[in-house]
Amino acid sequence: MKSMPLIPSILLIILFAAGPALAQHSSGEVGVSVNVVPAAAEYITLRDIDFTDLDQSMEVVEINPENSARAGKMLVTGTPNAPFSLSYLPFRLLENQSGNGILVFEYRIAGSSLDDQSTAENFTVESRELQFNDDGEYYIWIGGFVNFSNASPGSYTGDFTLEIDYI
Amino acid sequence: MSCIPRIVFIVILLFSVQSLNAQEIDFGSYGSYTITLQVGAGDLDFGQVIPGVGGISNPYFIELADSKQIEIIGIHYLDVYVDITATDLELIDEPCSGDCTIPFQLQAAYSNSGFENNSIANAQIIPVSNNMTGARFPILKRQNQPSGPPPAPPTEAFNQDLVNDTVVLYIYGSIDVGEVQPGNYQGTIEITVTYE
Repeated sequence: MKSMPLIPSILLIILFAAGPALAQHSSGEVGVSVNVVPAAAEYITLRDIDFTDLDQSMEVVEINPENSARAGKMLVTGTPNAPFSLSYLPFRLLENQSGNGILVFEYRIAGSSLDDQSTAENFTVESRELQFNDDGEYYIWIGGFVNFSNASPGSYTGDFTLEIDYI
Repeated sequence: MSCIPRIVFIVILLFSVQSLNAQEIDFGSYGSYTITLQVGAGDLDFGQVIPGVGGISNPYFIELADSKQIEIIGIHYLDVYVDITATDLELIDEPCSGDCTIPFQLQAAYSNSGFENNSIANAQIIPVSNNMTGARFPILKRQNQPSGPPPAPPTEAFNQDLVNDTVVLYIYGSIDVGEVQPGNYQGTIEITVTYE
């Protein structure tokens, strides 16, 4: 008996070895996007500057924000660890609420990422780069300098402007 | 004479391999039918969010009603297999310092009630695990009826446009924004659809 021819054998193998034809397919891509913006800073006044019970003979009052217990205190909250710049207006007019007269108040501030006045650093420029702590907090102590020598008796009030911008 | 047993062995071996694939009949696999995925413009956009504060993350959701809709156009009596894979979002436009990844949780659904009737109201949820999923369904729902006879092989006279219909695929999900660095974040969802 003759052996099976070689060529039909090869064809047989090719026919059975072939898999199914590739199916038609289509593919696409969808982007997923989000813009993360820093949380808006919030300002919380924890304590006003304390001018009570001052020595009446004093013509000049100076409250050191780095160590005076009379310093005002603010908490600024924002994005944790985010850098920011802080600026403020150092000279403000305080108006006499009970009569004529104004006082010029020179603000001085110090700040720290810790709730500890002894770690506060005095700001010597009006704008500088700072950073929120891990909890998104930054503490500011507010003091200043005022000359009462020409002030009329009365109650004086004024405001303090502080501005924070994320860098 | 000695050559015959060897060939018989090869033939048996090949048949046995084919039998492993014979558990289902993929009519679409043998046709030259086309299938179209129309993604359309625009991302699955979560808009502007703020980072989590104090270690608490902020979950943001895009619900099914606001999902990204993708159209699959193919022959209505054939099944398709849809494969979807998604990545987390990464910061794209700033040098990264700190945490610059936002986990994304993919969700998906489809409606195959026909071009005129597809809607979120009759969408079928596709289970997703680890941002990956796959689902097989007919282009046009069979209304609890058995599938029809095998399709005739396409000929020159075959006009696929006459037998096309549309499935709508809904892509949505949520992101979990921790204390990440502000900036623009981007992820990707890859979708592949194949006749089955």
